[in-house]
Amino acid sequence: MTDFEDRLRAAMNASVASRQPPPGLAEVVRRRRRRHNTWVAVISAAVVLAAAAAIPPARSAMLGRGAGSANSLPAAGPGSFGHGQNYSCSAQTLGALGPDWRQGAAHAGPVWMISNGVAAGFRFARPDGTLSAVPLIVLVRDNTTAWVTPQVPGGQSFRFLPGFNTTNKYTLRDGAINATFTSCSPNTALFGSGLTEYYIGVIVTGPGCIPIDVRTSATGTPVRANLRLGRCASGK
Amino acid sequence: MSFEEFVQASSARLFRTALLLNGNDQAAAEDLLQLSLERAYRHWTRVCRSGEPERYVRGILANAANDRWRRAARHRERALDDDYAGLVSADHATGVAERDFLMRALAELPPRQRTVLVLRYFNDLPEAEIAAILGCSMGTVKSQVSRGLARLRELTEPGGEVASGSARRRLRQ
Repeated sequence: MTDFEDRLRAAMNASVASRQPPPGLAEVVRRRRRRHNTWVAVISAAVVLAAAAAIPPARSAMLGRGAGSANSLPAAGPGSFGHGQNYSCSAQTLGALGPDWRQGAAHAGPVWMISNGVAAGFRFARPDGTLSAVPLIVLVRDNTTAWVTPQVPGGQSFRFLPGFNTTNKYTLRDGAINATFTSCSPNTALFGSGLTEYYIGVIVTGPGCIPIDVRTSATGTPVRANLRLGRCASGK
Repeated sequence: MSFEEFVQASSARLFRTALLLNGNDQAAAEDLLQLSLERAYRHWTRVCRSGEPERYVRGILANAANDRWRRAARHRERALDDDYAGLVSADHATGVAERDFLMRALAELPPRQRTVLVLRYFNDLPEAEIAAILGCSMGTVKSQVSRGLARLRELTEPGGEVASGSARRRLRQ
């Protein structure tokens, strides 16, 4: 070891000897890891959504259908769902429903939406501007991708939530205008009877009957259902 | 050993290594250490199984330092000259001034040379282990050490072969 190497070693040790790492390092690392996982989940969801949007047009093209043919998806359909909420098979739930559940459901094509009803005193919006979640049970025929667009009346807003929080306080920014339901295969669907069940939350700025348009890759043209959340404008 | 216990026991040593790898830049060192610990945390069971978690994390640290330097090209090699005019103006012969000057010179080395010198002289690792960490041959490590030391000498010693401008002249004064 030369004198220069000794001096270098001593200089290195002396220059950092009193330096300490920031406190709470383990927690910082954990937070960083959680953030990383969130990003991975977001990017994965975006990739799945992009793939879901790309497959139907590609399939149509392979089958020799033109973009403007009757069976192709409309321009305002799946392709415009870049910012929608995606509910995939992994989000399915298994909740028991009564045998006559179809009677109270808003039905459009392969999708059924069931609201448990909104209590008379239910506050859709609070004075501080936050909104309460309204739970919905959605059933989608297996092996289906359904693009769901609420046709919200003027002055109303409606959003699909990615999940429920513990405070039940949301803003419109927490949800998405549209939703895509990608149901499971019959082998993986827990609900059975050829259906996949989702338990989701939506937020809406006030009571009303919301027309919901449902498109699928199979039909292309939208089918409409009327989802009743509280009292409708007509007073029904 | 839990991740918390490891951080408690080893973070000071690892942080000091990160500081030297980053030219004493506190923010960059913290970021590098967090990144390395996060990578270790991801595979903590495997890291623990290695039996020497600190050695494992130090390896991540050294390689991450090289990666990030390579990607960002934040530091480019440049001669020590008038940037260091204030460094040795008061008492050029003092050990403090020389130490500071050495550390600044170290920070100016290419990342790979700096990493090798830090692992060799701060962490006291044998050349074979440095080669294993960096995934290169022992000959490469030896040559990097040799070149790194030579460059530091050039920059800091009055008798060096290559002049480094006004800073060295000031050291001579």
